[in-house]
Amino acid sequence: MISGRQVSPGHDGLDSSASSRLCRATSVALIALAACSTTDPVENYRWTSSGRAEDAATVGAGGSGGSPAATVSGGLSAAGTGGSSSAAAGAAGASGAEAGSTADAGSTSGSGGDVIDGGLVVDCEVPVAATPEFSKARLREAAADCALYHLCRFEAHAAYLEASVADYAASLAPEAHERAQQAWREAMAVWQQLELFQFGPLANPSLAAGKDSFQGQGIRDKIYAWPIAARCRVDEQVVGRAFVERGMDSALISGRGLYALETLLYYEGDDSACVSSTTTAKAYAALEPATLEAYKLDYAMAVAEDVVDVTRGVMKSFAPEEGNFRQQFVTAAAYPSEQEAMNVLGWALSYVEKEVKDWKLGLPAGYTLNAPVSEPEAHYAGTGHENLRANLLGFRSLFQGCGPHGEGLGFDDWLVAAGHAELAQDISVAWTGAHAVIAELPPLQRASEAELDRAYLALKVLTDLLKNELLGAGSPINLDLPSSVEGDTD
Amino acid sequence: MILNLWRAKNLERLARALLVPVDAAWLSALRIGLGVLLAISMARFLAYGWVDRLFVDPDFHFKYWGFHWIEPLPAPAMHGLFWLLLLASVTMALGLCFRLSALVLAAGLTYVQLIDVSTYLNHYYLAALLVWLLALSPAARLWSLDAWLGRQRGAAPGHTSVARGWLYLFRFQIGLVYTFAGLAKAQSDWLLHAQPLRIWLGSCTDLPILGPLFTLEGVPLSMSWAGFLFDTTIALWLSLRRTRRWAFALLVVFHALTRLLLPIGMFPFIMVTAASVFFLPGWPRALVARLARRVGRFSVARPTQPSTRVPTLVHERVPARVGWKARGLVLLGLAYCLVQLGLPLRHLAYGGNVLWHEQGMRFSWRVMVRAKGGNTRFIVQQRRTGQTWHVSPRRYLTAMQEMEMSGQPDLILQLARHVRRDLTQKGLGPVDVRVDARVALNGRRSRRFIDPNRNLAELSDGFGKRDWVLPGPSGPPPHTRPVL
Repeated sequence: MISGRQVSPGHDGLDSSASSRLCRATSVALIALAACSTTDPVENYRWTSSGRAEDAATVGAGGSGGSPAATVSGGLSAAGTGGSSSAAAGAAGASGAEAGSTADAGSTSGSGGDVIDGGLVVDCEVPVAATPEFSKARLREAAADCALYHLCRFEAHAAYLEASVADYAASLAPEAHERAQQAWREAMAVWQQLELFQFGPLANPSLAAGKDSFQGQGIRDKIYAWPIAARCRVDEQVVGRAFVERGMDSALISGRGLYALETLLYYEGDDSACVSSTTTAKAYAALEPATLEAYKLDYAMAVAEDVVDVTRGVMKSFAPEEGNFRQQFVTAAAYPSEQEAMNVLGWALSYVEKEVKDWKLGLPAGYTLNAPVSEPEAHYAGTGHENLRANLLGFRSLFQGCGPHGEGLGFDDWLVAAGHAELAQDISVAWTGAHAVIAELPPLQRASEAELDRAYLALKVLTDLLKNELLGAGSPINLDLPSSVEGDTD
Repeated sequence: MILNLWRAKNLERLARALLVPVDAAWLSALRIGLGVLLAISMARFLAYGWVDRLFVDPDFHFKYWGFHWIEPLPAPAMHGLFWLLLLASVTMALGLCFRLSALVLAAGLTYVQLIDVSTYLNHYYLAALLVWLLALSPAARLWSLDAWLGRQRGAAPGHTSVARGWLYLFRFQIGLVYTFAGLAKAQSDWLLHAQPLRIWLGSCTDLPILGPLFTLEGVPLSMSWAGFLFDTTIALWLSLRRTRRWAFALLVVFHALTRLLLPIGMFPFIMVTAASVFFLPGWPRALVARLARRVGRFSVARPTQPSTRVPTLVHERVPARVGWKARGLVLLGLAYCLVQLGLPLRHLAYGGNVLWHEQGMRFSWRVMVRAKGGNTRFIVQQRRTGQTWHVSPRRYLTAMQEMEMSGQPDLILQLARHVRRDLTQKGLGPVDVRVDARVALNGRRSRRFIDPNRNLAELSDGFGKRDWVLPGPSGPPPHTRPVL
């Protein structure tokens, strides 16, 4: 069990069970920042490229790549962190590939109890149940706590992303741009783990979506709505600037959140994605390059701030004061029956079947004939392969346990308790196989047909087990398939 | 044989025995009860959005053999149909335009079932059968608006009895359901391993009081045996006068439990209502009279006391001569019984495990005896280029259709042929369609279901044995432990 250092009270609104045990994300560095506002904030951010924790006070001067830690040059402020920021962010220095690999590795315990998460030092406590004895309520508790843990990590990254974007907007320096891009990658890597936790307020409430029709509020789409994504929707906000007056709710989900930030930070063209005859495209073309850039950055800052706000909102909804979802989930009180709550949790796992195998991998591999994907995932950033790895890590968090190597309660413990240890073992082995293959996968645009084929088939071994045996009418633990509970049976 | 029977004196004797008039009260009570339940059932379809989800939303519908021409109505008409069936259920219960109401209801239920095989449920099928029988029976002779209106118009009082054959026919039908449901449990998965009950009980461990009991070793197996013994013998206990009341009480408890533990909708209510046919024909009057005595407010005539307001059967007698119409009806009834007996036994012609290959599964009252699910993926190969695609059924089906299809070979075949048609229309043809299908039965590990080397696009379905379905599992299912 990795335990975070408790340096501050929990998040606003989170109760003791949720926040104090899980989400003490207030960073060591930002506490120092808050305490000494005149200090150059850069000094208080830490970044490692080697996965080794560095004490903020000892962070040395620049360097990149091979350097274990690097101090950021340029003014990076904790914009938007007002009061409850959780980021203890580091400066740039890691190369993209290195950062990607550290993100994949998930969280590791750093010196002094902090957790190195990608290149960021965060203080989120990994929830690993004290008792190995299985019960369905304990599994739900572990899953809810794990979701909170990943939310806590994501909030830290989102806050750093917000600060990085603000820094870039202020300086327009190329290195600040790189930092912002890197911060986006780190945040996305954590978010992709959270994609496996689509139950409760994050989840889509529609029955057809097959997520959580009981407690879903669709908040996930405000942060990341893929496969619903359209650069034209981003362009509309950039030139229309409706968000300035009417706030982020004026933006469609296809043009906000992490996707919008990806296009704003990575897309290098000066064209609009909207049809040339549209008002947006004409306005886009009429803007001076400098004005367009300024507008893009305005929107990027608004989006980044919104991502942080929405994330905090989700975390609060787990707390008794705001929605008490955690407790309602643990007791299954918010669901028609305990089994429905377990179904919802099981459906979260099926993200690797539909979204990951069929859409993210099946389309480029040529196995999927069509899918409701408007744009390939992360194709501007070229990090689709990193997302796949993170999705698998998220799967392990839920199926095996939230610990860095799958420790804790998960579905595998349920299978074992129910007398189906062999199936649990086979799923874990299939996960290991898929993870090993996908870890070697190059960026999807560069991957050969054979590499994509190998990754798809390795993942299919895992998803076949899910769909054939873990979920559905043949499930030994009676977990239904998503969206299939529609009516009577006999 | 039928002709011999027609000529034989046996038929005359049988017909006379079946034509003995009995009080029509039981039939009217069944009409009212079933009408109310079906009205609720239709209302559930409308309220829960099932009309859209089951009939309107799907782009593809699985057809019954010989009924490929049945198509769903457009959405507004489909909703209108269910409203019409709701109305027909109510009017049938009221006995208003009874014959028309019941025929509309029976035809409507049949049509709805024929739209898509994947919506097949034993209790929908039973409901349709019972309504057809009701529609053909004189179920509106008593306690109906038709009879009341007739009396208001000064018509002579009609019959207050029905031929005993109707009673026997309904008893046969209900007894058949229970008995075959019981016989379907006479297999090792159910009786030796308590599967799939162990799996289902595992999802009910949160129930107050009962839930923790399910986790005790021995409880699932005891419940399996109890279910088996109940189903196979309840018709007998209901038929015996001495045990009838206790058997009915047990039946109510049994169905209350199944309603509590399993998502079987209206089935328990339909069965409890239908099982009332095992009581004496005049049971509703006796019940009302008893209640009235308790309440002390009403005075209701007893079955043996004729009354102008509540007429009874005493006026009717067996006709002196059994006409051709009556003989025909008796033969028709016998034929119906033979078909109903034969359908659940047809699986014997195919051998193997019917729960696996499904040949002989539908219309045979194998109620809640399998937890079967799997995954099907169509492997489509373009003949010209050799290009291969993995086609997910979800491209054509709703989640519920996909779930149903995955365990039923004839549905997999239907979709395979549809995939070929669809891709050919899109200019990708000609294509071969093979299938990667695995299925898990009663808690076992999944195994391959369909021969992956067979090009399903070239096969057609019929009544012959499906040699493209691979053999089912032979070993016992694992020992599932319900956990808290």
